[in-house]
Amino acid sequence: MRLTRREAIVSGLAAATFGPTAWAQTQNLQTLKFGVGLKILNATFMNVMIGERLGFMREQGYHLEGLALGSLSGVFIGLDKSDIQFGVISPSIALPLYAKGQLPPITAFYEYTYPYKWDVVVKPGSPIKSYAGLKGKKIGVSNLGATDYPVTREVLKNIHVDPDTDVSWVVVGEGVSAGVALERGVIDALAYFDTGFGAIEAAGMQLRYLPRPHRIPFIGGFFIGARRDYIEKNRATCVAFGRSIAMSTEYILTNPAAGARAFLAMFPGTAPRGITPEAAVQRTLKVVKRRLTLYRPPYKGAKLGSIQNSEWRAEANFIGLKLADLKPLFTNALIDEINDFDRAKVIALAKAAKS
Amino acid sequence: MSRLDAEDLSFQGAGTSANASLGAFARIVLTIGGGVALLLVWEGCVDWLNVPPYILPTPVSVLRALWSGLDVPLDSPMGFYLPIASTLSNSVSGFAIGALLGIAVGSLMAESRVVEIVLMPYAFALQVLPKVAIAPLIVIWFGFGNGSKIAMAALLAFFPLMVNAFTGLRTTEPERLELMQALSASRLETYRVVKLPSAAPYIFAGLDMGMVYALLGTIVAEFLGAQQGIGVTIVQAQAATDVASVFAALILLGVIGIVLHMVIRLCERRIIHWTVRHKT
Amino acid sequence: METAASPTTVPVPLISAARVAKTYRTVDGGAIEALAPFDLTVEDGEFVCVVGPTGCGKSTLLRLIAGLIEPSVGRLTLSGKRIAGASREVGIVFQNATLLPWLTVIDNVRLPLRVGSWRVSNDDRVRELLGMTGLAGFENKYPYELSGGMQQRVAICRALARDPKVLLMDEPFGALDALTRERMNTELQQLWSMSRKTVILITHSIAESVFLGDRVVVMSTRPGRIVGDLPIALPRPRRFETTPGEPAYVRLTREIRALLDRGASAPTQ
Repeated sequence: MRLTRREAIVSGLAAATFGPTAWAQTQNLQTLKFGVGLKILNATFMNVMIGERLGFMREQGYHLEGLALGSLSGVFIGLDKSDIQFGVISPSIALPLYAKGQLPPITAFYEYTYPYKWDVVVKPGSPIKSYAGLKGKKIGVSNLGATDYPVTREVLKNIHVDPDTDVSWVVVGEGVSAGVALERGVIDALAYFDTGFGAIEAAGMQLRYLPRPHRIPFIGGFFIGARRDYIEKNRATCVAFGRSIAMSTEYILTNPAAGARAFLAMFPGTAPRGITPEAAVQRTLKVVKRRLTLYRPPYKGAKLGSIQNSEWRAEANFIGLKLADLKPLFTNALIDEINDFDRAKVIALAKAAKS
Repeated sequence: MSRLDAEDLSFQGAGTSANASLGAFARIVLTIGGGVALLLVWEGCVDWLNVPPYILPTPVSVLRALWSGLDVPLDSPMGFYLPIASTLSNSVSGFAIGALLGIAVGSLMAESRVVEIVLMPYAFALQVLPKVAIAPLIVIWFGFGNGSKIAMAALLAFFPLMVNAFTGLRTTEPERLELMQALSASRLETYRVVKLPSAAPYIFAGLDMGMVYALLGTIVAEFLGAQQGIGVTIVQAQAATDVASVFAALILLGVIGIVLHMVIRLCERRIIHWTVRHKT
Repeated sequence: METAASPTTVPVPLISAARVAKTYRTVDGGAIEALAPFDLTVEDGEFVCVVGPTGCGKSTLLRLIAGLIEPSVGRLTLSGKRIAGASREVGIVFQNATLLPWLTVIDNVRLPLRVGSWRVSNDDRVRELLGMTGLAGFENKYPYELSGGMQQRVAICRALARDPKVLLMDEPFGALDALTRERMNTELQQLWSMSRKTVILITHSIAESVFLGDRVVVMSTRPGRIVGDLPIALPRPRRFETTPGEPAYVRLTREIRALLDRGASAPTQ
């Protein structure tokens, strides 16, 4: 009795510690570690992660492991110390460090989420019909350090609404608590981002999106980066990872439900406990439905993952940095090779999967 | 005024005697009964007032979430067992390291005036510091794996042990020290044979506190970014607006805390048997 | 007199104090005279009781002989050698038994054989001592399982474990009830007559000092000084049923009380 319990605990520990790596070793695969700046890996990383589940990584000889590093600066540190090979790069964090010369020697080589993800929502019955109608209203933001706040200020400024005198700002916290604040009338409108709204909607609250004005700061993209020397020495590995993301993107955009199912199979904990697998898929799709549209570049003829200098320039301008040279920060050198895969085959695979 | 006081007193007296006359069984029944009544009121209010589950889940849904994580194979990714194993092994390792270091540093301070003068002000300054605030640094120094969890647990367990070991060793009965002096015992012998056992009740009180702190430290480090553990389960459930699972994880944490506390108390009763029976 | 332990050969005193005094420094730079200069000799095998009120420095006297503290002035010798630090020739019994509660009875008695620089493993002696004091069968009990008298017996065994020449006892029975105390006194006398150790026993009980001692040294307070040194020529073995009734016992008791009273009313410095 005692022995079996101990064995159970020991084997559980072993599985927790060595499980995935041990599996990769038996498959003779090279393990790649990808770090994100959140506390957990959520469904926004669907296109980065599910290549592991769908076999896109394995057929190229790799095993992918996602690590939640808690903050984007944690990702920089992880990359710099080579604890991880790949990580999420956000220009809003990278540029100020770069300007001060404190950015580790890392370069972005794939853009996996494109702008623009912010919106302002109101209750369905609200008299507010447009951004201009926000004058004199209370706008909720998750916290004053989140990008939601300066971005929304900028948008308001562009339509001649003074963000300091014409509106008032209320900090309402993350996710559903922000939704509750809107529902209870603590705030008139909520400025937030796509999957944040998705989570509120998935909890059963109704939101109405205000139509976006024409002049919005086209920023907020997310990139995959690695150490410059790593990219030079392991070009094929970087291409393989980028290609897996591109293939997964095609797969998800062809059959979102199948993509969500693959993601949930890898991260079952991202869905609430005790709901059916089908309900979990539906819920996940509800949360990420707006994010999926950002997986494809919004530029005519642009290849998957390709990076626009204009976005980085817009980010730099947005935070008021005058930077002459943005070249070392990103590269499109791998994009052609990354996109060199059989698109039709991936689409067929997605269509064949249960939707 | 004085009449009122007297009445108050007599009322208090009656209360205490009533409590004293309650048997152990009656107490357990009352505790459990009170808890069940509270849960029923909770369930009823949530149902009746139609509170959405993302604000307050019903006890039944919390129990369901708890059961859904327990009624699975040990190695299921949906189960609570892997997170528990990870959190528990990290907190216990960190606790062991922090406790040993704490006792060692506390002993050095108690034994040497110089060490005491050099370390004491800093040690107490560090103790006042909210260590949760340096958790992000710990994560950077010790990496994103188990290292930072263990380090955080060790850091939090360290201080109660250091302070209690120091206090316990310094309060050794002078007669016992005189006895060892009369026997020409060496410093190390005096420490080992007399001071350490004399300080044991203090050290155990520190262990009790340190164990809970270590668990707390592990959870805090897990909140900052981890791949496995109860802290991760809580963050995940929060992100999925699964408040019932957050409550379930908190219940688990509470149970783990109580179990660890009882383990320490059991060890205490076994190891320093003399203090327990002294009192009776 | 015939039972007194002073042989007629040339006495080489076992313990000798010549103009010994002890002064404590206080924190503010002052000095407290705990013991005024005194002379004292104790012969080998003698049973000396030191009686005096609280604060007369009798514990200081004991600690000086035990080598736990050093005299401020004067010369203090044991077997002709100056006392410097604790010696294996001295065993000490404290007022509270001061047993280590985490050790069993036998381990408490073995303690002097396990620490310090005279480590020997002599379990025969330990068991013999336990047998002599009626502790056989209690070897594996813990101190908290014993009565106060039993605990003090263990403490005496421990003090004798190294087979010292001198047994120092600091009010060993002060915390015991009257009946237990009498029994312990009788047993101690018996133990002493068998082992012939030199015993110096500190007490504030006049009855105890007269009942046990070959000599009673009377001390007074502020500063502590010796005000009397009386030989007790009562026949041994002394008995609680008979000894207190003897005229000599009554006279000595009265004499000591008078010395103590005079000491107490002496002008203070």
